[in-house]
Amino acid sequence: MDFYTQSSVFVGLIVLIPLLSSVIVGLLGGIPWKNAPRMSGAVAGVVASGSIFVSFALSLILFSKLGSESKVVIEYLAFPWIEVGEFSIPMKFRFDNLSGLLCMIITGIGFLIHVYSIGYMHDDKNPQRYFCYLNLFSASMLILVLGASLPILFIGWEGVGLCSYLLIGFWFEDEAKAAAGKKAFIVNRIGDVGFLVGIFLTYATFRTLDFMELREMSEGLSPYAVITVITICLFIGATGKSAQLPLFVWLPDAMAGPTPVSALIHAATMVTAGVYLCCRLGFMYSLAPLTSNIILHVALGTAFVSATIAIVQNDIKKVLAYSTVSQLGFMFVAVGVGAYWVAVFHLMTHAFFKALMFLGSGSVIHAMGGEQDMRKMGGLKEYMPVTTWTFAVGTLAISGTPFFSGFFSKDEILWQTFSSPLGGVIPYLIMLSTAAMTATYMTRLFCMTFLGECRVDKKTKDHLHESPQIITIPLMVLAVFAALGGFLGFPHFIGGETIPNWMHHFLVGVVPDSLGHGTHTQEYALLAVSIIAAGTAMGLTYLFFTKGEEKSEVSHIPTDFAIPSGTKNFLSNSYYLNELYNVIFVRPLSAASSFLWKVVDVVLIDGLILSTARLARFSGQFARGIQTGVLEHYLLVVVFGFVAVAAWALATTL
Amino acid sequence: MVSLFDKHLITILIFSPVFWAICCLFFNKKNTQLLRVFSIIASSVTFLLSCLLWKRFDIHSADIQLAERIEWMPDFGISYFVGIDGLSLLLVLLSTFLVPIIFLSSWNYISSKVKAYTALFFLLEAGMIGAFVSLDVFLFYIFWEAMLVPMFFIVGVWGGPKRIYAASKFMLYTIAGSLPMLIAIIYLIWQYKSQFGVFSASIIDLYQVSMPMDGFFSAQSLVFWAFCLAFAIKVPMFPLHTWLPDAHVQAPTGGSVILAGVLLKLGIYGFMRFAVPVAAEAALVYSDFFLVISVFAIIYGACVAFVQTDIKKLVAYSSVSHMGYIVLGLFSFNQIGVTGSIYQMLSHGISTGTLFLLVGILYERYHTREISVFGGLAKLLPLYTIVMVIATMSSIALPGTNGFIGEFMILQGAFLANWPVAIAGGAGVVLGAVYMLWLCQRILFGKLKTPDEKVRLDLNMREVAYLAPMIASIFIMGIYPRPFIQRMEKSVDYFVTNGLSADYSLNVQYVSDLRSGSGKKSSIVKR
Repeated sequence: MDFYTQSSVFVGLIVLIPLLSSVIVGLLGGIPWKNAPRMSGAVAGVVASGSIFVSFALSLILFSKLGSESKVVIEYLAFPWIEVGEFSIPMKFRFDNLSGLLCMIITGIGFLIHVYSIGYMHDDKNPQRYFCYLNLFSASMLILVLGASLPILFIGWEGVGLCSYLLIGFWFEDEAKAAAGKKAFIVNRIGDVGFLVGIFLTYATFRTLDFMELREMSEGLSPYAVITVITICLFIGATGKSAQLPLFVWLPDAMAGPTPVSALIHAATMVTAGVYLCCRLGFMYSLAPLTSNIILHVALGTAFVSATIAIVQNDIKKVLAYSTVSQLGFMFVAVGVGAYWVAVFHLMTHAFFKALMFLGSGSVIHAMGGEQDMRKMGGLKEYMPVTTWTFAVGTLAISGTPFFSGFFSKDEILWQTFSSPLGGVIPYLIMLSTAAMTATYMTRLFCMTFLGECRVDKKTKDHLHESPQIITIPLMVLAVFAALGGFLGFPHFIGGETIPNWMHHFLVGVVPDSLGHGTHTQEYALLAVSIIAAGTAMGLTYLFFTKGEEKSEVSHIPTDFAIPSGTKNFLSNSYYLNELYNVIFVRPLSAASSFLWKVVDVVLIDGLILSTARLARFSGQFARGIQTGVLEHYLLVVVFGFVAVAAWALATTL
Repeated sequence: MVSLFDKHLITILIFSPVFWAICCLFFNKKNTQLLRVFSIIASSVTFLLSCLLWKRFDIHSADIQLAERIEWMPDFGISYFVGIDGLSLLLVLLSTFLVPIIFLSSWNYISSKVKAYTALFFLLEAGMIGAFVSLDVFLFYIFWEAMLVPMFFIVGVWGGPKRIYAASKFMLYTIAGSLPMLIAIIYLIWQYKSQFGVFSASIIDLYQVSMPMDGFFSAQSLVFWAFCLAFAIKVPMFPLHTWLPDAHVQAPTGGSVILAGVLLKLGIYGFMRFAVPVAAEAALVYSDFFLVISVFAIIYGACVAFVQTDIKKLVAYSSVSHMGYIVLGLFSFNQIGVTGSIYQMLSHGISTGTLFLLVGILYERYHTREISVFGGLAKLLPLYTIVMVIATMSSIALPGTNGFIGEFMILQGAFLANWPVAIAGGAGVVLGAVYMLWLCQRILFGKLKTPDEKVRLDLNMREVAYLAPMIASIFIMGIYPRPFIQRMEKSVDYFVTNGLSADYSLNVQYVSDLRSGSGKKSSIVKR
């Protein structure tokens, strides 16, 4: 087999192996067949993790063949899928620099999370089902990034949505958890309508849905209205999946799922699908300045709003959830200002540090016996050193501490926002304040959970312990990446030729180059400003909480920021968006539906139909009245009839 | 024997269920088990026969294939004329595929008058196949009406408490629609005589009849609407759908499956084979009306399904919504839309069929279909839950299931034809998820709640056996739709390029043409 054929088959296998593993684990372990031996949870975990590892290894082999700025593309045509006349959608997968990088992230982090899950789900009743879903998710996510055309991407898009639904509601006996899964699915579906319309319009315009062909066709095109509409439609899809305003309401609820799921699906991979979509179609988005502008504003709003909400949350996972929404906003800001490679860069670093922190919070929740309220934690540093230190790395990374991964990617976004012709000073200031808030809420989380006095109740305290190695080792691996991952995109103005910006070189062959440029002085100045902002925020918060702890000996509740209770309620209820949607969408829909059924269907339509039946019966009854059964009556009618006919005949003949 | 199968495959297919029905009469009424086994084997044989159609069908041709014709009432040009093309082939297969599954599902459900039930079901099957393959309008009309009788009894005898009301409503509604169609058929035959000098009831000849089309009350428009009324009631299209929920709720499981799976599709098939090509100009003039009303039906059906309290009624209204998609695809009159429409007919037959089977399983165990009395069944019935979730995903058109292929093509086709309508139809994508997932949540998830604490049976082997082919079809048709699409591709292409012009004509490849002295050259294709 020559290199190309072999690589091509590898691309197919990357998707197929987790998919097969999911089916096997599901059939042999997930389904409770009577009288049949069942795959144990541990075996299911090992099979599932193993399949992802194979995918990772294959991705790594292919990834090593890709070069910077080169246009190596490895395609695998599985089979023709939908083919009707000229409308042809082959089941084709394409491995290039962008999808390759994403594959590495998905399978790499995915593998760690699978392994972690073996430990995390150890005590669960049905880990086989869990691993079946998790594998299916990985396969769908790989289809999403490898898909060579919009509909294939959409298969993955819906597949990850399904797995998200199944995994959020994994503990379905809890009604609220099942409801959260349903909500996630439905809110995503609203976005999906936009996505579908985008696909339809793309086909109607270009008569193809393949990314490469679309790219060739849009080269040299000047911006025009249809592209703007297409890109807006697809962005609507992205707002659903990537939890942007106004559709982000599902993501905080999605935290009902097992914590590793939150790490993999609701932080590292699925929720970034929208960002991936925009970058994949960067050539189109760069032709639509209006769309970019819309994206910028939506993303700024999302980043800022969710950061404000994150500050007042007390549930450790909710803080991370709102933080994820906010960070996704960061990525979309990068998309909005035309810096697609920066969006992908931040996608990657965020995947490292946020997966790390979610897994860390999982470790905490595991140790706390399911408790998620940070007010009942504190001082866990003493009990869980590995979790604490790895979590600290994540906190430093997301807050933008120099040389940690988040620092490079976040700062690149800030720089591009400032210097791109699509950005500006005001967006930059909003982003800067959001970055400061990020540092604030993450430091608050860290202090409340790991530092200060231990507020854990007696019973739980006896069981507090560091998690087993199967959980801590993935944390340590991720911590390394969260710390160092940023060097892959080392800023050019500092690194020059000695430390090249690998990320930039690697991606600009696939996505349009970023637009921002300015003097080195400006770059240094901005860098300094953001270091100061993040540093001040972290320092002050740290001091506040460590000092505050001393004061609050009595109440056992740490002093929190003095936010007026009205504002606090407003924030902690996420701006009452759920309530608003209930009033303007959910309730009118059920009222209208009841009306359609009980009035239109039953009374109007059926009433009308039945009244024709009644008419028939009524006329029948009337006619029956004539049928007296008395012979004389009939005779009388006959006579009258005869006379009448005779009279008529006479009248006409005469 | 071989030549008999070569020359009369379709006839054998139509009449094999009739033969099985007659066989039923010779069974001992007491020995119901034997009768049940017989019904399953016999219907499977019919299904295998129909697989021969799949095998013999030439995918590279848009012609009517395997056609058989024999004079019947030559004075009026009426002949026994049957054949298949890409529009009808898969629908025939859907019908024969569902019948063995229904018999297997009725094992315990139908406990009284098994003999009559079995015989009637076979007659119904014959009627359905006959209606799909008839190319003579008169013959079609006979099969069309003949189906009503067994269905009337299936609902009226083995149905729920309000079965008589439901059966009568179904019957009267349908007849109210078919009588105008009969008038239109007679008018067409008469017009053909006056235009071409001879009588013919062959639909292919009747395509040639030219009728003036200027305004609503012109001949062509009236003929079109007469056909449409019959077919729209069958589909059923809003606002003629109110018989459907009643019929479904009262019908036994098997009746519901066949009703949703096949009978409704006859309406759409009627549009494709008769109403649209016969009155092409009228169809084009009124196509926007149909697009709009079908989108309305999508949303209306979904909304009403959303507030139902009875599982079966919910699924019934979901059918109204799904059939809206199918009409939408058809009236977009392009290859993508019409292919999607046919594909969705198959998908809907499978997915809604599965849902009705699942409702039946629940009813057999708990004797109720009220949503509110169930909860958390996933804990008790894990296998059932898996099947239910898969059927739900198929129903809401998740990629990877059959539902997506059809819905995607329909919406793409509709978008090319009339984009605002397609976008409005997209609302169904959300609403479908709303009512189906809410149903799942209420009965499957949350705290365990059943009407009868003692009944804790998950699916048994028999139930797995008949659900397995349905689930397999969901995935096969979702992942590898090509063999199905290929079989309709040529015919649909021919239909959308020529079916809407006045001189639409279909070639016929006869395997058996027994008309004497008709003077027409007919090509007998030896295979």
